[in-house]
Amino acid sequence: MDIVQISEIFDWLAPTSICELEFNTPQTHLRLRRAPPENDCAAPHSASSPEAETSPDTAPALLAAEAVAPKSFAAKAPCVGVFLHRHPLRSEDLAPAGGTVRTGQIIGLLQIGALLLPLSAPADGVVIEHLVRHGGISGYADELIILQAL
Amino acid sequence: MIEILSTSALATVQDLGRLGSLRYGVGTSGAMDPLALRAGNLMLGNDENAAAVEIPVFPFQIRFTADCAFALSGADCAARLDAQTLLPWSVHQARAGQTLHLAPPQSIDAPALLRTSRAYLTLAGGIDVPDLLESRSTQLRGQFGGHEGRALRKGDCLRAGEPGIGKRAVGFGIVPPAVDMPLQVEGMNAVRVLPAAQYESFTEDSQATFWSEPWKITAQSDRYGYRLAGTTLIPKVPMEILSHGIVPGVIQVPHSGQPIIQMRDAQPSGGYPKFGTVIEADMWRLGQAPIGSQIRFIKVGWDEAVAALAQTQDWLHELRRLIELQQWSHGRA
Repeated sequence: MDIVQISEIFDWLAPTSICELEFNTPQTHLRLRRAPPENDCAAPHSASSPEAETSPDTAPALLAAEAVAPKSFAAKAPCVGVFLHRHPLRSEDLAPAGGTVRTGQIIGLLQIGALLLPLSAPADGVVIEHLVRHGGISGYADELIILQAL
Repeated sequence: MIEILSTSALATVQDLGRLGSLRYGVGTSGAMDPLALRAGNLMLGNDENAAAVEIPVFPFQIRFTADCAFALSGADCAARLDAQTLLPWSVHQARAGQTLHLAPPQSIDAPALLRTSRAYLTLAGGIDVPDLLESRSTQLRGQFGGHEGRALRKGDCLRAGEPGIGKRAVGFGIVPPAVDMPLQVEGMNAVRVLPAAQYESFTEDSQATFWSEPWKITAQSDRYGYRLAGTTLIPKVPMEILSHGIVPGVIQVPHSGQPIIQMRDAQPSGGYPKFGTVIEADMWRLGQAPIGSQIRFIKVGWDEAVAALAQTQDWLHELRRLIELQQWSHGRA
């Protein structure tokens, strides 16, 4: 790895909220760290809440329709990792489809090496579907679980 | 910081053990699953040798009498902090007045991975009990160390070294070592064994049987030793040998032909023939094997035993590195 490549990685990181990156090969150990940007990238739960997705200029007719059909929203990955639907010692999913979850409840895990970081429900809701399979790779802020507001 | 609410006996304060006092006839004591103890301490940022509560009998319940961060490791006991369910092998912040409840772990009918028997409750800064002969472990036989040299009782109160609301990240967990480093033979948990001094004194059939058949951990098994049941091991000629030093992991064969594995509270000497020794790197696996379960033995040599220890140390090193990175990230948030 040369300085040009490191510069290129900086450019990739610039528009993201990622504030740390560690890269290892048999020959290379690279660790890039920077101060969190204005929007505070490290907020542990970056997933949007149903309220946040309501646009102020939404047509009244659409709002009326939504009052009948509850809005859906996504729980997004707080970090890069391997998405686990369940704990490695458990056989049942943390948030099976059709189940009701409460704000802050752990609904999945992101595995980074031996670390297991919680994916928490951003709001009360019913689990509609998992968008990434158990054991699949998740990027930062990827939508992982779709929920329907209660 | 915590008050024991359960009447169930046998929970003890343990660190990694009282090493270096065997010459005084003082056994090592220490956690039956040292890897779970180390991992719990790492999650909290404690010294890896900090003392924790080892819990072998369930349900087990405590109340936090002050705010304190804590970690759970070892057996998956469907833990609850008041109404909140907690995942196994994870770290949390408790508030004064909250109750932690641990249910019995999975039964012995569960898949091998889930057959565990001991949970560890680690507190921020470790459990503050006196350091005696360079350890805080409970020495049950000598009735010293740990909390008043005995198992915990209902109403006992233990202090944490660093109570309060910690600045470190909590709410995360780790992948249990049994998942990362599984060792099974035909669906049974296995441990690796070095043949010992009197191995060659047993018949070839007995030697073969030892490696090829399952061994049941009988109800006469505890922190002192595990009595196993299986096909009788027969010496080529009857042996009478002088008492000699023994350490945790030594597999002795008494006249009954049913082996005994010495565990953490083993006496420091004995006179039964030594068939083998469970390697140090696998003692945590044995420490978690529940009564009634079956285990298998895998024959290894010195080099494999050393390599296995290195693998365990690599696992801990990687865990330390990832937790440090996680804490750095938390500090920036």
